[in-house]
Amino acid sequence: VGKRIDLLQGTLDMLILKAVSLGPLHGYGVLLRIRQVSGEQLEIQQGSLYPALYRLEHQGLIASECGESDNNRKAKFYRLTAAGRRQLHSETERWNRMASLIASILPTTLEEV
Amino acid sequence: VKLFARLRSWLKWIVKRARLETAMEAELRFHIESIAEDLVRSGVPQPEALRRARIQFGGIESHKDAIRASLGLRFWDQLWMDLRYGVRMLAKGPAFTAIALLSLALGIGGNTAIFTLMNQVMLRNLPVRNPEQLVAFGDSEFGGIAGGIDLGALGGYFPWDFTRSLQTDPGPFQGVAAYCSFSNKVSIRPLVASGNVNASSPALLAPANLVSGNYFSVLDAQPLLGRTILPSDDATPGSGAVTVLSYHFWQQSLSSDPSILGKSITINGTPFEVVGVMPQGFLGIKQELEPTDLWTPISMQTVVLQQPSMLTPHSGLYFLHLFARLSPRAASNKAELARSQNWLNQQIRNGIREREGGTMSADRQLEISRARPLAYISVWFKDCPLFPEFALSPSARLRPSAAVTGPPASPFPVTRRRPRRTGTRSSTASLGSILRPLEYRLSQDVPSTMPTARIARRWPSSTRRSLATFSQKATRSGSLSSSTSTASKGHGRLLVSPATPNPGILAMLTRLE
Repeated sequence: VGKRIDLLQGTLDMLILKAVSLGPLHGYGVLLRIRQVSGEQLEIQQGSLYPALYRLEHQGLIASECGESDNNRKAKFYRLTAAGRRQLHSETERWNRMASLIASILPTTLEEV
Repeated sequence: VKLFARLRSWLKWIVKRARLETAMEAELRFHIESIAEDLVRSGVPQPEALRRARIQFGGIESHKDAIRASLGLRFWDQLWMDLRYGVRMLAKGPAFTAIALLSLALGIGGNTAIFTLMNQVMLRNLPVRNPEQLVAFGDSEFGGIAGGIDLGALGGYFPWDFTRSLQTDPGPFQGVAAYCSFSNKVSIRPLVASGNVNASSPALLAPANLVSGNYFSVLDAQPLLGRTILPSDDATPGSGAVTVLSYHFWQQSLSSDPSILGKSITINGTPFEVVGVMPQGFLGIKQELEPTDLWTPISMQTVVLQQPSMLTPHSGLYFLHLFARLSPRAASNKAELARSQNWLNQQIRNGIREREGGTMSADRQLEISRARPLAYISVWFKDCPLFPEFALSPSARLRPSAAVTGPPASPFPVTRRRPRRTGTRSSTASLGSILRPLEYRLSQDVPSTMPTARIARRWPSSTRRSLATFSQKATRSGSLSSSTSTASKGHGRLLVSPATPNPGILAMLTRLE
């Protein structure tokens, strides 16, 4: 396991939406999926996961329902709503623009200015 | 969409709080157990795995708090706790609670009462065109009517022939109109289709007010249905059997009959044609204990009042009030207003001279022409803090009580409560005279007896004798009238009115003697 990096401010919501967009997940599942997809690089603060989930549900971006977990236990599953899908789309776009912008700025040298 | 979702979510959290809290707890426990299971799978023994999972995840309560905070529930929780705390503390001190509640109740009640009065007297405007132009003629500086409430001494009374001459020649005024100083109850029966009285239906008693033909046009009050009373209705004494109904009477006693116009009702046995219905807000010019339900032309006085005709020249019966509409200039210009007032004084002087005829001595003539001012014109409320003449002449109180004046009135009482005046002369300042109606409200049965006492005090013995004679007559004829209870009520006022030479003029005349 390499050195894990903390999340950038404001990106947790986007990552949760992304994780859930791939299929309904319970809270622990969201944590695992983000860790797994990031190649064990990203660690989400346990303390901020549930507040974020509840906040997103409160905003109507994700919805919850009861379901069965892998080990046949009852759990609360989250899935993306239509509003959440739109939000994810626009957040992704904004992120890409910002990332490419930053990426183009950082290598700048004095001669190029 | 987001706002809507949030509101729905809050509502859900407020309504189903207990269930959602349980679900939250279960979800967090599931999370810990999932961590523990993963640890077991990686070889950690069960109890140790659970312990580690708990340490890794942190306290469930702190997670819950963080969730609640992220939902913005803390505000509601704290509000609820504060409320519960408040109620607990109130329950702990019942005496304190009782006193606090009582103070609040009394405070709110008192404020409401005062505001109701102020609203009528000072804030409400007449629902007619340019109400600031309307004035009343009265006999006291502080008297008159504002907001439909009689403020001061009883208003000025005028005899029929004098009001007629002002109606025909209003001088600088746009119009001068008269109405009977009291509404008396009349017996009413609707007519059936055949035109006969339906004798089987019980007669209704309703207050009717005599008004001059231009009463409605000077007020510029528009009817809801049909037309109002016109000068042609009031042209000849004994003719013009038409009536305009109040909305209240039309609705309550005539089932809001939309085809009432042109139909007849009998008033004290005489058929009257219904020509119009006034809108709901119109209750006449002055607030009465019982609002006026019918308006009929003054020409029908003998039928409506069930008295011998008062409509003869030099009858000596002072039973009409006058109000007028100022010219637009006079409503805004004090000099112009003074001119209107002088004109009115002159008319009254002429009226007195005419009445006295050739019997007047030169001294008397001189005194009449010197006495001044004979009339105060008071402007409706909205325009000025109180009555303009106070502002103009601080010595108003020192004037001879001969002055014929009156302040204005606001015709359209908002409520059906109405204070009665007892006619005490006020020497208090303006605020006092506004507040006075309150005290009358507390002693509403006083007025019917008051005027007599006042007359007795104010008039010389000869007048008192004639008053007494009249009052006996009135009592006798009162028994003829349809309603004894009204007869006695109206009768107190009747004493003042017909028998009473205009208090202003007469008082002056007697003083001059």
